[in-house]
Amino acid sequence: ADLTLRGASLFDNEHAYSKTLIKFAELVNEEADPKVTFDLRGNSELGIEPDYVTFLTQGVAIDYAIIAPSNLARFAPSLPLMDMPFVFRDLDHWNAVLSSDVLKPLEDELLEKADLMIIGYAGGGTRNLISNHKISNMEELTGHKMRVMGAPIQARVFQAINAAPSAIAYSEVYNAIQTGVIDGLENESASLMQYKFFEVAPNVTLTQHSITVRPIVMSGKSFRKLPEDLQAIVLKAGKEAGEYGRALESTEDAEKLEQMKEAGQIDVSEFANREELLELVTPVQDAYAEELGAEELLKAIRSK
Amino acid sequence: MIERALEGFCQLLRILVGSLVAALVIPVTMQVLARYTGILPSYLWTEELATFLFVWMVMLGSIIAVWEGTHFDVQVTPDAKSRLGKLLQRGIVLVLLFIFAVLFVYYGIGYAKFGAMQTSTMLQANMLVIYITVPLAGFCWAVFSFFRIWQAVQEYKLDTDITPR
Amino acid sequence: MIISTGVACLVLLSGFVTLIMLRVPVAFALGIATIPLVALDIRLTPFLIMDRMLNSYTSFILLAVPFFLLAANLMNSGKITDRLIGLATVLTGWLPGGLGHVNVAVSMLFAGISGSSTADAAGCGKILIPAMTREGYDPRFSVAITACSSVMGVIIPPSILMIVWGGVMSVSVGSLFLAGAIPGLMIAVALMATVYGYAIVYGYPTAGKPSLSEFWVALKGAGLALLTPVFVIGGIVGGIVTPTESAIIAAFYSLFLGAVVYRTINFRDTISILYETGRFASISLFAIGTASVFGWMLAFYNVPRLMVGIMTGLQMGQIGTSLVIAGFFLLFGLFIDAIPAIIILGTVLYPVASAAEIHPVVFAIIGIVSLSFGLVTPPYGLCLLISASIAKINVVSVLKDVAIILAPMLLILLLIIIFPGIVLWLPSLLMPGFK
Ligand code: NA
Ligand code: NA
Repeated sequence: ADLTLRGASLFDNEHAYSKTLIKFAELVNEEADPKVTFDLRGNSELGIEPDYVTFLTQGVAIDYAIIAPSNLARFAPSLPLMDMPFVFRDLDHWNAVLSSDVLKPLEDELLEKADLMIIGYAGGGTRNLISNHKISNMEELTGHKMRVMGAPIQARVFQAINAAPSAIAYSEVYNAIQTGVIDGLENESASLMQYKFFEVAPNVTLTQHSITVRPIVMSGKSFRKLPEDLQAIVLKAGKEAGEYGRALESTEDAEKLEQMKEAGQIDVSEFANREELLELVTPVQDAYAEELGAEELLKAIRSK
Repeated sequence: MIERALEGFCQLLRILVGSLVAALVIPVTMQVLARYTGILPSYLWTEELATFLFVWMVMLGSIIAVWEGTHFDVQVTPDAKSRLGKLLQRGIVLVLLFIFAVLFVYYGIGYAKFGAMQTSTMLQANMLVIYITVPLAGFCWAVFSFFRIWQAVQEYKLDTDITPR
Repeated sequence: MIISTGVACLVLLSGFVTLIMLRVPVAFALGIATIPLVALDIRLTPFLIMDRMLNSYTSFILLAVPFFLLAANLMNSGKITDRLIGLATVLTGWLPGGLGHVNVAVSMLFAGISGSSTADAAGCGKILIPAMTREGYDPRFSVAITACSSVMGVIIPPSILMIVWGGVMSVSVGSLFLAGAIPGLMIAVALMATVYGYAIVYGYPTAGKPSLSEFWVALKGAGLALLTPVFVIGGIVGGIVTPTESAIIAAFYSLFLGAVVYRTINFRDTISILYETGRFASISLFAIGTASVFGWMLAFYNVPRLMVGIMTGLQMGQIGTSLVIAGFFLLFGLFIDAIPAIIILGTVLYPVASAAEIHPVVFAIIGIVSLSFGLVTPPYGLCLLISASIAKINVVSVLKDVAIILAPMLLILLLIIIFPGIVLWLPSLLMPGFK
């Protein structure tokens, strides 16, 4: 039988996500017999992440991909909880959560509602504010017009810290900042570099409000088609590839930031009182978890 | 009789499409105003609402154009001369359209169910509201093209001229 | 089974061409042509056809299409187009081949106000094609010049295509707008030279010399309409609206002129304009959906990746690469609409262009100018189809004239490729920090 697994990535083979998926393929084939053929389609050839989600739920065109939790919210509304802003204290906390099975309830929800399996956790980009003017304290943040991701929790968190979240399609962000329709966005170093946002918004404020969690997602339909021994290999490889990816991106993220700084593309500044932001955000996080009936989960994440 | 009923239905669609264009202006204008006036809060759902209205406009418009025969075709091949030729030239196009339409109905129902599994992130609306346009459009294309096929065959039988539509 | 790239390519293209020959509407032909692959390849299902189509409509940038069309339709119904024709007549009507020059000049004025070429072909064509026929012009020439001049609509700012391009590829729409101005004017000059040539060969009449007072009346009549680009471009550059939102300014301003200032549009007219806008916008947008399905299938079978691989392997240098890029856009423009072509092909060629060190703005203008020519080339040239349907003549019969008129326009494209400074001069002059 034809044993091919197809993957998709937004980026070229140099990007951490693509490297993670390539590693996944290598890890599977270290143990699989007969070998599996892997066909990874990069450079957004087959579409963007929301498209991959659609394909994976249907088990067509592709079998695995790395997906941002916000893009899974259409099927399982609780998913954005796993990397909502200010939920992780630091990289160690983040790593501890992802190496444990704390997020199991979310994985179950996703499997039940969308037939998607989380086989590992990549990610590790630190998201900061990117803006056309310097922001270093609460005062400068107040009323700051910024684009946020299209999930309600995102808007609520940034509203809570007195910024003014704005509705702008991602494809219009570059031009909207350039002309001053908005003043900035929040993103990780890789995207800042890829989409050249620094050309219009060269100020990076180290709010470090999110450390990204990027599940490696496999279509349940594709998974069940695999022979049992291979299923076990895939699960193991997914987990290990995730660990590899996390280590890779969390180092690369800092390097990329440094690289842009050295090239004079960005100005990096600290945020004066990050504790204050945390105080403002915590009640919003609590309320959100309560709405989703995920208070226990949030508690478990915080106590890791 | 049937033609008048279908034409009446199409008139309804025309009114809807016009209203949708007018409605489209509202969320986009609000989006601009929200950024500049303190009065309106920042409406983050404007983008989503605009795309919902937009999808409906496009799909309903495609139905009207099937009825009116205004989807653009290209006349690279010569017009058929004989009456049978004319019937075939029109018939083949309509049959192909009909098949495509039936596929949209048959698979579109499953597709709409897939939409019903999803909730839009900002408006918290069930995504069925836009996915339903696929089987709906398919159904209307099918009815309209079937009627046009029947009409062409009638004209052929009755020896009247086969009117291009 | 699993189908190879070559077979898939053959099935898609031959299927599409056959369907077109059978006169299946282009929008449906693009969709139907993908059915055999979906049926044969185990990796694909009909789900994909519906999903790729519906999904392409959820892009916010596409909203610029109905809004710019609404603005143009308001101009046409509010007799603002007539005022522009009046101005064009006093400016160029006295030349040999008068109405031909008017046709070009009005398209230039219209282009500065509207971001859409099709509305220009429809609006100006409706008035000028019958007028030209009455004055003894060959209808084939009238149709061809109407269609060819309307392509300026998307080259001279504002432009729907530039909005889409800027969004998809992170390029400043403001600099694209500025970059399009001079190539647009050069095309106007080329077109007028061609009209002059026709007038000499066929002895076409002039439309008479205007008196100074006639000139003044025409200028006053069109003055307010000519302010539209100031608002649209000012809105973007001033940071009030995003490029997509700017289209709505054009619509509101045209409504204001028609309903309040000139009082040429009443409530009933507005209703029918809204409907006409929706009807026409959805016909072209629907085709974008099925073209996206078609394009996705090509990508699924690796066609673009192979293409890029071959091109980067050849190392043709800047001009050579630019030529090939233009060639690809011209080729795609024959079959599909410009917007899906940007989405499908533009993103694929982007790395090729940067590898050859072509400036992103130059790359954009080469792409947009090439694609705009696709508006008048068969089988799928919307402006040509619209103009021909106004004159009620077969598209095939005007192809010779289209070819003659298009030739000097292609020369302008060639000039842009050889001297990219033509494109870069205006943005570097007016945009602080442009490099
Ligand atoms: Na224009
Ligand atoms: Na014209």
